[in-house]
Formats: sequence, C-alpha cells, structure tokens
Amino acid sequence: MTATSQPYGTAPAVRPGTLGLPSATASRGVALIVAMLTAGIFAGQTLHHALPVGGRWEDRVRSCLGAEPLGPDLTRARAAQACAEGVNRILVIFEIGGIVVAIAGCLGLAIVAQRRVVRARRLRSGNEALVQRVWGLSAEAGLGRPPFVFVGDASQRDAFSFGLPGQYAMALPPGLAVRSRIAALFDPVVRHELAHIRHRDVMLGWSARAAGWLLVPLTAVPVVAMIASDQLDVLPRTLWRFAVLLTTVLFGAASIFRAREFEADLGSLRSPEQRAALVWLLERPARSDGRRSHPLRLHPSRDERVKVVLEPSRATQLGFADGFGIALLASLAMTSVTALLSDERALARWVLVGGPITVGVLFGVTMGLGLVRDALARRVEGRGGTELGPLLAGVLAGYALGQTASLAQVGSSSLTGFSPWWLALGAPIAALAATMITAAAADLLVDATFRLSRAGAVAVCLTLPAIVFASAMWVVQTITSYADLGGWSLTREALVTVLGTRVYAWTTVVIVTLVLALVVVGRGQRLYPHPVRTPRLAAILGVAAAAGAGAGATIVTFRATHGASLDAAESVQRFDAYTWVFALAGAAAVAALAVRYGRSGLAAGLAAGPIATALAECIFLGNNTRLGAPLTGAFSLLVLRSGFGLGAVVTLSVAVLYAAADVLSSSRAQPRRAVRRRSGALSAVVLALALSVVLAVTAIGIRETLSPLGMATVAARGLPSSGG
Amino acid sequence: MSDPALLSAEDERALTAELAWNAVSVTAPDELSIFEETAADYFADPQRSLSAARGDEAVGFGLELALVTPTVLAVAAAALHALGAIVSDAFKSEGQPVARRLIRRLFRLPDRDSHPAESAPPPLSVEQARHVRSAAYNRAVALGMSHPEAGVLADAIAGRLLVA
Repeated sequence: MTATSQPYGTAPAVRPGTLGLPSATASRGVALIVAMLTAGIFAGQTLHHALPVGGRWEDRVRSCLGAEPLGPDLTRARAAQACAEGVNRILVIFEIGGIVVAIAGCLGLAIVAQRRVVRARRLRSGNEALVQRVWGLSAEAGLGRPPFVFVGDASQRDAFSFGLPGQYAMALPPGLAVRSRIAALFDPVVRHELAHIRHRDVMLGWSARAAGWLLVPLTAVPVVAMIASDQLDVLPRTLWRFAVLLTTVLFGAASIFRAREFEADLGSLRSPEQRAALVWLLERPARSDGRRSHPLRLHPSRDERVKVVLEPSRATQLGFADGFGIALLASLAMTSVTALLSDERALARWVLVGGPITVGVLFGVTMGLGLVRDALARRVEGRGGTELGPLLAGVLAGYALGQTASLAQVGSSSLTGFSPWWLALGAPIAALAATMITAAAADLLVDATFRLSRAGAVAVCLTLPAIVFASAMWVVQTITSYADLGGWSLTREALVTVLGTRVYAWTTVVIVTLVLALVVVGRGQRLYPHPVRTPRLAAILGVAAAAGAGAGATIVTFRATHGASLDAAESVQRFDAYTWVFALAGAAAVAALAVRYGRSGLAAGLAAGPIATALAECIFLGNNTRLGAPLTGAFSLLVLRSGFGLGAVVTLSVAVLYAAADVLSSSRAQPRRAVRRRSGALSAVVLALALSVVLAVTAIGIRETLSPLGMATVAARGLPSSGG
Repeated sequence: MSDPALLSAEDERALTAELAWNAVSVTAPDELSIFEETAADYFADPQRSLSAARGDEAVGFGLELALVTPTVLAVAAAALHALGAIVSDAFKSEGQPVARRLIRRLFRLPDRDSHPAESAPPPLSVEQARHVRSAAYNRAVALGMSHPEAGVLADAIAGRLLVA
C-alpha cells in the first residue's frame, strides 16, 4: 500500500494506492472460471447420462446400491462406491472432458475473436506521428513492449485494447487519433488503455466476454441430450438452474469490466496533473454517448468514475452484488466439486474437504483480498469500518440460491436439494459468519500489512480468509451430512466426536499462530488515523485465560460436588458435556472480545477462543490425573483436539450474532463509544470469566439433552434420565 | 435532393463535401487531415459512419470520442436537400450544370466554371434561408449534437445563404 500526499480537488488529503494489493477483479475472474467449470462438469455429466454408457452406469449403480443400501453406516457407502468404481470412472472422464471443453473453449473463443478484430473492425495502422505519441506514453507508463497502434473507421467511437500477451494492440477512434497533439484529450485515454494492458486486463476482459458466448452451447448440450434421451421430467429443473448460472456469468462479467475500468483509471494516474486531466475529460460535456445505466453495462458512469478518481476507496468497497455473485459461484463450485470427487473412488477420500477447500480458496482470493483492500483504503483515508449489511445480505442470498441452483442438485426431488429443507440454511449462514469474521480480521490485517513486504501481506491476506472460509464450510458440510443421515441424534454425536479431527486441530493451531502474529507485527502501528479499537496481545491472552479458567474451574467444581461417574455410559455423557464446555469457553472469549473491541475483537477471538478451549482442556486433564486416572498421550491428544471443531461451530454462531448487531448498530449510525484501553481489557477479562462460567454450568446442566444416556442404562440404574 | 433531376448524384456529393469541408474547417479543423477518407466512408455507407460500431467496448476507455465530420456531412446534406426543395422549380428548366452553379453561388462557394454572362440566382428570402438553417439545425440535434453546437454548425453551413 502506498500513498501520495498531494491533494486534488475535493479528494482526501492522503490518497490510498488501492492497487497495492492484487486486484479483487482479477480474483473475480477466478470466480468466473469456476462458473465455467461448473457448467462444464454438468454438460459432461448430462451428456454421459443421455448416451448408452449412461444407461449402463445407471444399471450398475442400481445393482450396487441394492447390494449395499445407504444408511448411517458410512462403510456401506464406501462398499457401494467400490462396486460402482468402473462405471463411475467413465462418468468422471465425461465430467473432466466438460471442464476441458469449457476452459479451452473460453480461451479459444477469446483468441479467435481478437485475431478477427483487425479485419472485422476495419482497423488501419496508425501513422508514424501517432505511433510515436503512443509509444512515448507507453514508455512513461513503464511498459516493456509498446502496443501496436491501429485507427478504426468513423464508426469507432471509443478506444479499446486487444491482442495476446506480448502482442498487445490499441485501437484508437479516428476522432481521437486526429487530435493526438491535444494532450489534455489524447493522453488520459491512451494512459487508461496502457493501464489495461499493464494490468493484463486484455485477456481477462475478452475471456469474460467469451464465457458469456460459450455458456449458450454448453447449455444447449445437456438440453439437447435430455430431449434426445427422453428425460423431459428433468428438463425444467435443469433449465432454471442454467438460467441462474448464465445470468450470474453475464452479470459477473459485466461487474468485472466495470471494476476494471475504475482500476485502469486509478492505475493510469501518476501525478495530480494527470488526475486533473482525466477528471476534466470525464466531466467534459459530450454528445449523447448512448450509455444508459443498467447492470450489464461494461463501463461505470462518468460520475462514478470521477468520484472514484477523487476518492479511490470508493472502488474498493464491497456491496450486495459482490457478496451475491461470489457466494453464488462459490456454492455452485462446492456442490459440483463434491459431486465430482464422490464419483471417483480414488478421489472420494477428499470428498469432505475438496468442496470446502475450493470455497475457501475462492472466498480467500475474492472476499478476503477485497475486504482487506477496503480496510486499507479506509484506514489511509482516515475513515471508519465499512458498512457490512449489504455485503452480508448478498453472501447469504447468493449462497442460498447457489446451492439450490447447483446443477449437481438437478437429481434432487426437493426444491432446495436438502431434506429436511432447513438443512439448506446451514451453509449460507456459515458463509455469512465467515464473511463477518474475515471483515473483522481485515482490521487486524491492516496494521500488519504496513510492516510486511507486499508478498508477505498478500500471502497473509489470502491465507487467513481462505482458512476461515474452508473451516466454516467443512464444519457445516460435516454437520449437514450427519443431520441428513440420522437427524439430531446423529448430529449431536458428530458435534462432539467427528469434528475433533487431527487435521482440524492443526488448522486451528495455524489460525491462532497467524492471528497472534498479526497482532504482534501490527503492534504500535499508527501511520494513519486509527479509528478502530484493536486489542493488544496481553488483552487477548488475558481474556483467553479467564474464559479457559472459568470453564475449567466449573468442570473441577462439578466433579468435586458430583463425584465419579457411575458407569461407562455416564462417563461418556460427562465427557461429551465437557467437550461442549471446552468449546463454549472459546465462545466466551470470542464474545467478550467482540463486545469490548468490536470487529477487531471478534477477529482476535480467532486466537483467544482456541487458547481458552485448550486451557479448559488442560485443566480437565490435570484434574482427571489428580483424581487418579492415567494420563496417556493418546487420551491427552483426544481431549486437546475434542473442543476445537465444536469450538468452530460456536465461534461461527457468535459471529452470526455479532453480524446482526453490527448491521443494526450501523443502521442506527450511533457514534462508537471511546473505550479506555486498560478498562476495556479488564472488563473483557471479567466478561469472559462470567460468560464462560455461565455457559459451562448450562452445558453441564443440560448434558442429558446434549448426550442422552441410553434408555437401557437408565432403566438398569433406576435413575431419572435428567439426573446429574 | 428532393428533385432527382436538379443535381446529379456526383454533383450532390461534391456540393455536400464542399459545404462540409467549409464547416469542418470552422468547427473541427483537426479533422481536415482525414476529411477525404472520412467523406469517402460516409458516402459509401452513411448509416455506418453516423452510428457507433459498439455501444460499450470491452477493455475500452468508455467515452465516445467521435469524429465530427460524418455529422457535418449529414447536416450539409440536409441543408442541401432543404435548399433543393425551395429552388427546384426555379432552377429545373436551367439544366443540371447551371443549377449546380447557381446553388454554389447561393452558398457563396467559389466556382471556376461560372459563366460571366450567367444571371445571378434570385436571392433567397430571409424566411427561406431560415428554413434551410432550421433543417440543418434539426438534423444536427437529431444526430446527438448539443443545441449550441448544432447552432454553430447550422450557421457554418447555412449562414452563407443570408450574406448579401
């Protein structure tokens, strides 16, 4: 992030260099590619099912499922999968073929279209004087290889760039070419086009356009295949989903173009004089340019462009459309990747993590970078945190529509693709929570990025949001799978057992390390006005210690007052309840920090929460050992990782509540209370302690609901099922 | 021309181009360097020259930077048509070459072929001259010019009709 200190017009005194981090629009290109992948997978899949090979696949899968019916026992599913391995492999080949056609077709169309531009648009080579003018500006802009220069006929009104990497060209309208000596008119336009070339927008832009063209034949293949194979009953379910995908791609492509224009404007400016020239040109009265404002337009209005040139952070703000588009494509990708992985036995072991990792990477490079860019720009301009309501609403709506509209759900009989329908709410809410946490983490990232190299800052900005989103999606997918298979009885068991995996425990360690490192690196960073309150390391550790100690002490007290378990069943029930206590200790730490420090407190909770959980676990282990139980390595590890997965669930829940409070407080536009740092930290510690004790007592009190003793055990002991 | 017999197509183009050249030299002198090729494109396909090839260019600048020349040619053609409609009855009997020369003289255009013995054309009334200017002005506005720009262009083309 760089800043210039020379103001212009009504611009803020300090201008953020919003192009310091990789462009969020480049990452939207990634989202567009994902949409094409999704369409490609589905086209290949549908074609497969419509051909004779699809009939053989169906017969084989039916016979395999007949031999090994699916149920809560996942080993049966694996057996059925092994049985159908041969036919599934052919299906996967079709799906991968669809992907290759989609991506290669998109690039191919973009290349062919650009090769035809010179002839189709009647372009002529520019004269020597014109070429020299453009090349002079090109050298100024730092381009290693200047573009070829063409001039269009009278019908060309706007300048544009085209060509393949290393052979870029610029086509100027004759109305501009003849005025090449009028620098005020000529230079801003050419600089803008050179910025497009320098930012590698050309292939991205043309590929985005080609994606729209290619989706039509990709849509036609499955539709024709369904009609030919008499699968008319599936046709309506397919068509509306394709309509959603096509609309998303078209709107997404248009938004990429518009965002690119803002960035090309900003990237073309190297001095206040150049800024003034561009503003003059954009504000200059012009003949009717025929550009009505509509969501599919490729260029923003002049007014919007002038505002962004004067106030660059306007270009970094993420709104409803951003959240909606990214979430929709991410959810489409998650279901498609999961379906693809589950079709191939060799890939099936990745089925539970492949989708979440895809979503994590997608969200990390789009939402993560976008939110950090916005936070950076706002910090440099001395403004407060961004309003998150529209973005969060967009994420919620986009994810909900995306998973319902996923082409992988075509075979499902219910509208949402989930049974019961409310299971469909899990992933959108988790995406909203992860977005809230990422937005909160952006405030912490801002301080640290000022001290990191560009590569280091980008790496952290990508990694942390990606892990947060992937974790959220993994947790919710796991819970949803168990709820789907066995309802609440299986889900409550999964919450305290399945989520506590070794991989997730290590993931938690990485998150904690990253967050603490950010806090330490960003400590004392006051280059720019600091409108947000950020907890210090001592406050984070103090809150974690208080929450962990409160929860641990509650367990110790309970054990002291209630004595040992009567049998193994009660031991299991108590351990399940303790797992909830460990997780809720983390939730107490997150909530306390969020209440006292706002968004940055919520982000700091990513470190404080697991530390509190781990401390409560250690207290339990210590007490257990003190009471005579053997302390083995396996048991210790089991205990230590047991609370992290469930801790993620409760942390996401806290984030959802915080998001609601954040949106409500933003809408009321109340000024934030100034809190003295020391009293803030102390009150956070006290709050964490109180919350953890209350939550721990509650969890232990309702242990029969969280983990009921078997009816047989209850009958044998003659105890009421709710007995403590 | 409203009356095809008054001027040949070639004469009409030449007159339109000459009127436009004079107007462009006043309103957009930068474009004179490519006037001939722009006029050739215009006469080959006026509609293509007057309308934008693309509404919104991908990877473009986003503002229309159109040539003025095609618009000026269209406005000149409109003025010529309006004048033709007014004087067709008076000039038709004279034959095309003479009609061409007389129209050139009305527009105060230099004419190397003029005959000294040839009588001067009857002067246009103020009303008729205003009618021609109004036709030029309306065409310019219809093609997207602002009212002040259209006024300047209409004066550059039809204003000569009022010069005594």
